[in-house]
Amino acid sequence: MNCEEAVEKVWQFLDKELDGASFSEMQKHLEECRHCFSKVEFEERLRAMLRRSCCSEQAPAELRERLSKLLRLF
Amino acid sequence: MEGAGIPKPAGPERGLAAGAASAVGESVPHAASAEDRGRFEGLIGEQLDGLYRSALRLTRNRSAAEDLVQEVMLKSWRSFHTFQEGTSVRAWLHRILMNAFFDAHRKQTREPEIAEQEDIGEFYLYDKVREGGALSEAGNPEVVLEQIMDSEVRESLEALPVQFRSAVLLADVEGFSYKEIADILGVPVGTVMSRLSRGRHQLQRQLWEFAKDRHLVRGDGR
Repeated sequence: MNCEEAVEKVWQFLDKELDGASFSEMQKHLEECRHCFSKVEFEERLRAMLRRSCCSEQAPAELRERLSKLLRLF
Repeated sequence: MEGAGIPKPAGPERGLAAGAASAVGESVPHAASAEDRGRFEGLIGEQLDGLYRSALRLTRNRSAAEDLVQEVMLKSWRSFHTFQEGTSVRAWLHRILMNAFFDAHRKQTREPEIAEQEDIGEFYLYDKVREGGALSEAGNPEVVLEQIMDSEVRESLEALPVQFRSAVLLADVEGFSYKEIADILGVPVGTVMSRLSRGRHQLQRQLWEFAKDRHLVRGDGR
């Protein structure tokens, strides 16, 4: 696998959607290529950041209560 | 327990347990038993925070998000008896959420759906940040990333066209597989991949704009 192919597959790799053979090829390339390794690491961090920034909010207590009351009417 | 509210999840393990328990009943009779209601209430309680967050990213408005979640609860209760054993509760509820959102969205807006073949170009934040002269004195792409604020990340996600936003939300925030996202959105896996790719490029472009505005990096032509 060369860098161009690796870049094409970065997201599928991080999404855990590559088949066994492609996944191994990608891993091997990342061991050998520091540039691609850094890129994948960056994408990984970016995703963690996106997840963290979106997961800090909780449903308001009023909503929880409203839905609970509604459920009791069923 | 009147007015006590839907119980909050005790921990990450309980979500799976509640999902498995809810899938045990072969068919829920139409007239709700206290047991069904209890099971359903537990299930909604576990998923409420996640559903609310997804609703908030889609509607970009707190009160609209609450209304959407309420609609999801009513719809999912109505079809609770069709819920299949072995399927993911979270995926099922997100499917109902997406359907309800897109139904309302189509009625409200005349904005045309983005053509699947429309090209918005590739954009990798990593490459831009690394380009000569783009780095701040920090000198390291990860450092630039760390300085971007959570609110800017959320804003960048919310700025995406809704077809891209929903795919990125389901994959990157909720962690669903391509196949699950395809089922949730009712589109082929290839479409999911294309929306993800373009949504992620666009999100990175938006983050780059934030980084430039805040002088975390030196942008082109500055």
